[in-house]
Amino acid sequence: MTTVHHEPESNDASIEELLREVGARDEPSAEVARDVMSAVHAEWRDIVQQRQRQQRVVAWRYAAGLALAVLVSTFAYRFMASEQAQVASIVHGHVLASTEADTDPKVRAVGEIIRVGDIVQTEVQTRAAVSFPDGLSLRLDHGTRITVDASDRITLAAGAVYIDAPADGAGHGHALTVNTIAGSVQHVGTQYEVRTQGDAMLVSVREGRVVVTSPTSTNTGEAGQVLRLNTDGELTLSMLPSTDPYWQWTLQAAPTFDIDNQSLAAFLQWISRETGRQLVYSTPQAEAAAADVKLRGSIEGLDADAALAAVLSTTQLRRYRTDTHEIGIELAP
Amino acid sequence: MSPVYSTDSLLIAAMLKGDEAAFRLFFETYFPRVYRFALPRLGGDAEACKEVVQATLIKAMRALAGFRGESALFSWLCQICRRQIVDYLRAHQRHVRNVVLIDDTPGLREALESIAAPASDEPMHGYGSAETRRLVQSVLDRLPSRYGDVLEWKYIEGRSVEEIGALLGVGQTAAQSLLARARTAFREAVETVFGSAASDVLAGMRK
Repeated sequence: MTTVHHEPESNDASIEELLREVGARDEPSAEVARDVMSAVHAEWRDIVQQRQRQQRVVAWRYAAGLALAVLVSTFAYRFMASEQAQVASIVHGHVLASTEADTDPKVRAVGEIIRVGDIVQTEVQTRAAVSFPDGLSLRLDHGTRITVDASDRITLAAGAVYIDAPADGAGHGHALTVNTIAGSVQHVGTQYEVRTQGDAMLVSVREGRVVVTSPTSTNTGEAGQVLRLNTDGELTLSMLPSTDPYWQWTLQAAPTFDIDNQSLAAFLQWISRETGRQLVYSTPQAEAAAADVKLRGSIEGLDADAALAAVLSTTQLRRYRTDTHEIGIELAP
Repeated sequence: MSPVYSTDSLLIAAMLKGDEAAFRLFFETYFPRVYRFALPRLGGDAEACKEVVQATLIKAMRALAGFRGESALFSWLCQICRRQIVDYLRAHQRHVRNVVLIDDTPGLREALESIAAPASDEPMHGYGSAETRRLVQSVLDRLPSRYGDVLEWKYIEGRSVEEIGALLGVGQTAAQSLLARARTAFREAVETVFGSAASDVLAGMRK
């Protein structure tokens, strides 16, 4: 909860008058900003790449030494506590991570690994996204705390998580179980959110189907449904459309889609999935054209609709009017 | 939408990991401030300023891993920029000597640098209108987070709280709260630097 301090209006007025009297600070011209940005960005990329190379060299040296030690101690190692398995990596934002053995939370940022046994938290103003090797995306809302129990199981203690597990060609996706105080949720290939609410959990299903299990019952949640299950096993049902603004936080927690060298079709598929709208092509020709178009540039900083408009404006395709649950794409005449 | 980094150290850590969004946030936040810091110290020479600021930020990139968060990121950038200005002026003989600004005097520099955590400082009085204007703008640049931007958007550009929230990628309540904190920080900073309230500073400017 954020506290807003109310001050006397006279204070406000004197600050406003002083700032107006002083006027806006000078801004460097766009041309100067562009030139300096380009030079500094190039230097920054070099520095980052240099560091990554150095870290790889150090890691290889370390790994070589470690490999020898591991070979020697393999037998003994089998009888020791098993190493924390790496299950996912951070792809957006940052988290605070601790373990039972090391309870002091440390910041982990984009590119860092999440392991079995980690206790992962977001702060009250931050969100984060974690990606599993098979494409499952786990997003953590503000003030969320989870424990990674296994590569396919987490416990949600506070806040909310959103899972986007695209099914593979055979209709199978990564099966992740989310445990809460009130029960557990399992799914295959779907998009849903689990949120803690006192002694209850809320499971909102955006796409596909989930199985919600408590000690006394097993229930199935369908797309568009919100299941509320409390620790007494009481279940109530309400509705939430896949395009409801409620889902916007999940896109805000998502890593930006890198459109460079991607096809327009892949970008449209991403927008469709992230906004909960169905992608509809007016004709097979329009669909084929979308697959052929290769994109360049970036949509960094744009919201979904602005990104869609910006990208389409550079192609021979455009949106046509549909209801709010669809994104209609056609060839421009 | 800008990502949120609760401290300078987190922002730097993300940049060292290669996070593009963090780099852009760094550049958008600090480039204009360093530019405004350098320009008056180079006698308003825009070409020289561009060269010095570019050199400053490149030096900062090279020293990024060494930033320990002991001072505010902007103060650290200003230190680098001061050295770049001296180097530039040595290399270009057309400038006879460095331009020394009133906010480079030790007492005022200390007051400006203490703005993130105001402490007891000697009051500063008797500035001319132009000096006051520039000092108030320096205060805005020295405020933590994006307080300076938020105050300008609200009181100079007349933007609504909703618009400010949209610019920062936060909700209306968070924007309202940020604005309240920015006002408090600005009022305290003005009192630290000038030794008098905003209304008195304004009255002094209008004399």
